[in-house]
Amino acid sequence: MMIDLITSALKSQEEIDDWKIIEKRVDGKELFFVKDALDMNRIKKTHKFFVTVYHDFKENGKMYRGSSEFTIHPRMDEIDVESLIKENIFSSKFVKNTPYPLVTPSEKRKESSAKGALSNSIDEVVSDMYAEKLEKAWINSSEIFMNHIQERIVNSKGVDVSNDLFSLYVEFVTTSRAEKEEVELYWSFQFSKFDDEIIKDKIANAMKVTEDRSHAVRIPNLRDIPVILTGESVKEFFKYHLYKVSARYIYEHLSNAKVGLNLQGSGVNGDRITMWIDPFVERSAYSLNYDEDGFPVKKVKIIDDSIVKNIWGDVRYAHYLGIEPTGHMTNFVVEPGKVGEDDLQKGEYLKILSFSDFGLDPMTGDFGGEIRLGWYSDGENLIPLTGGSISGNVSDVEEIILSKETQQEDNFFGPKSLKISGLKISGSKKL
Amino acid sequence: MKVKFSKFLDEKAFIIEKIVSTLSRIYGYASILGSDTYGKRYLVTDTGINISDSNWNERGFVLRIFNGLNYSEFSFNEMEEPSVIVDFVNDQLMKSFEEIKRQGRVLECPCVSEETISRTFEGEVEILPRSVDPGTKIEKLSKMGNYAHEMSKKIVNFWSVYEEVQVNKIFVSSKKSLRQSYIWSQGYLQAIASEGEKMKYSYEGFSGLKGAEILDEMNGGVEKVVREAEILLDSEKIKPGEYDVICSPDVAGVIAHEAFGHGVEMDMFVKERAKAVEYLGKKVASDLVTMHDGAAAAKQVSSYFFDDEGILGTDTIVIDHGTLKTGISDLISALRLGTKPTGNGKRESFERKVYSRMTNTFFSPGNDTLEDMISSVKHGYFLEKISSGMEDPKNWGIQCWILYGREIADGKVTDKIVSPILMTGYVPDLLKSITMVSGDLELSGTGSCGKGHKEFVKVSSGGPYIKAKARLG
Repeated sequence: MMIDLITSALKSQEEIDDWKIIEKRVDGKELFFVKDALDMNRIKKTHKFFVTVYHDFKENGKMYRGSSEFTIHPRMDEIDVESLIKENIFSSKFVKNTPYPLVTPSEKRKESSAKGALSNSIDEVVSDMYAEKLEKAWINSSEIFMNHIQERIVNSKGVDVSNDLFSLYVEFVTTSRAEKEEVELYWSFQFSKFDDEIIKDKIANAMKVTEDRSHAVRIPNLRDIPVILTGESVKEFFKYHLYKVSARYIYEHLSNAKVGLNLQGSGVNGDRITMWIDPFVERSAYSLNYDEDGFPVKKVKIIDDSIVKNIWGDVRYAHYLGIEPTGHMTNFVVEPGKVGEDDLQKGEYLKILSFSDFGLDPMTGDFGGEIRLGWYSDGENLIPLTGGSISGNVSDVEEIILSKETQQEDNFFGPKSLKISGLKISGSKKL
Repeated sequence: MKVKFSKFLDEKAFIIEKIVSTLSRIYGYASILGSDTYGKRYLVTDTGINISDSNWNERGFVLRIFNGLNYSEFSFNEMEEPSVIVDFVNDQLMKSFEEIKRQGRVLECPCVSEETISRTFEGEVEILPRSVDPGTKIEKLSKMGNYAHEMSKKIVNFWSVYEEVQVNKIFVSSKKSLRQSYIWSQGYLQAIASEGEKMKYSYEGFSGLKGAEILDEMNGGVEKVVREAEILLDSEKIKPGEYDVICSPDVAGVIAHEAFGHGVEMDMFVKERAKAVEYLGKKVASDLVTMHDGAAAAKQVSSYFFDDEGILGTDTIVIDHGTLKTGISDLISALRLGTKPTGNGKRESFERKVYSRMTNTFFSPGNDTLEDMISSVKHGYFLEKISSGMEDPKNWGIQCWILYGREIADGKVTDKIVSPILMTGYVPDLLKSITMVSGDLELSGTGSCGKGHKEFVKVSSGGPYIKAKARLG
């Protein structure tokens, strides 16, 4: 076994104080369609070993932990493996990091159920996607990626754990034609498990929104009215809060958050945010038992009613801050609000269903994006709009209201909609 | 110094040729692209140092066959005996194709017909990255951080990143045998400044077909990036509206990239996603606009000898004095459209599909001077530092995040800074509004380009300073 060869080579090097190997196998099937016709089929099989060597040393009376990360490819011979290890030990001697421990063995968790999920075949996904034929909107093109990912994490402290993961990733473009021209919208989703209804719902919603875009007019110069975010932009917005309470951000002086801090401050009206990190979000392709250090990840409440409850982070950064590690993960959950979407949509507002690329900078809190479809309400009439943009900063937000309806967007579970006041809306002159 | 070809790929060449030869006899066309791209990334911040593989590293193969109607591919990184690979293609890959074929339609594509060619390309750099030890690289990066902190007390963290990448590729089909090896490197400086609750940052990128010599270039950028981060702490929000703008070469480059680079990727023509098809031969920009794309159009990080389908790199004039001339194409799209491939077939890695992708995309220089351009603006902004962009090939919208703008009032740059800026608009409106173009030409390749929200490939973009009208928010 290649992993035994690598382990043995690492153990034979006296200058290595610790080591870690992540063995990763990916078996994938991929289908690409133009309209409903197959453009290309692909199969993927890869196998890699991601290795880190650690070297502890003292300089001017201070201890350091050096490290160097590298990849060992399958079927490399003993001489090449040894040479690569020596090269990286040499590099690690220049890396002067504050010492930190490696993960130690913990109680083994039950394997995840990727094998069961794999019983869904890629052909079923294709059937679900193309089940509904609509006159006014259609799938222009689609890409379907189905991967079985097996990870084994082994380190010099005796950790030997595995993650067995499954991922279905679908990207598709929908088109609709109105009187003037065709319009399109881009979509993607990712799940670890799926059923027919989930995929059909995703497609039906995409078709509906695209058809609405075909009737949209250019955004006029609106004054700064409340904005309702939906879908992926809701997830993006909350990344600010997620990152600000991460041990890494705090250690790197990118956040001054600490337990007890009121993240939203006292000037923001509306709902207070409650957030969890959760390694076991149902259907998330990012749900896993162990992080990349082999640490058994935990569900932890990190923000409670806007107050920082816990800082989250991997073993290294938690050690630096002197807190308990939670493990590193990407799943996060925001508790929904008490108001229904129907009640959010009262009075004058702009509800945005699709951006070209909504972005939030977690360091500065700046966010925004160009609008591909929004609904403007003057309190009585609804008008579909396109073009223009919204922009703002988390610190400028005057009010946040979370919907009670929920959604799962890849690694996020939380409110389906988010109503915010205090943003700038840039309209288009063309009407 | 010459960049020597990968020993790993050289050793696998014989077995690759054997597989291709057998599969070509069965399927009429077969090819294998082998990649062995390796390098290191060195990161020094105030709080830690990291040495890791470059994000662009890859070692593996992608095999393509003509399945009778279109193409099937197999990506793998464990090279087996030829008979094992051939059996896998015959059994698994073809079985997967037949299953889908039975369910519905297949988008047909002609079989590749190609000329015989056998060539090797070896790039050159001033200093081979491996000839400089990691300690020296870390020391240089650390000094940049120290210098930044000496200059300003407002800097709370400073990142210096240096990445070196040696690309080695072999392409074998029944008539082609191509090899290339070249090195590119990139550096990145980021100063993060904080005052009270406010946090802002600035960055500066360095890139090229260069080796470790880029470390010395980076040194010269520290002061600029620190001063920018400091002044951004006092920046204001821009009042949304339409303004006269002067775009720096990196902002101009991303406008070229997003506006008409993505819009003329010819796999989008096949999917009927490109509005550009209706405008070929028509005016889409001001007469001052000429736009190139091509691996052979410039010397930057996306300059290669052949693309990931074995097509030699070219220089395509996409827009010529305001008129849209042609698109950029991968091989399969060209076969379907009956056009000539332009050497723009690129993969994120051997693990991914080929798409029509940009290489080095830029506006040609003009005859104006930057001073004249600034003096001509009554009220507007000088836009600097691109953060990101997004394309809209069907409906020609554009979105670009720009780090900051300096106000121009009565022909002079004032002290007022606005940040960040979201530039949006309708592509032809933006390109037709270009009224002045400077004589400069600068390309930058520190970023990467996605197709939709994935498939990241190395590209460069740039141009001269341009004056245009844009909607900012």
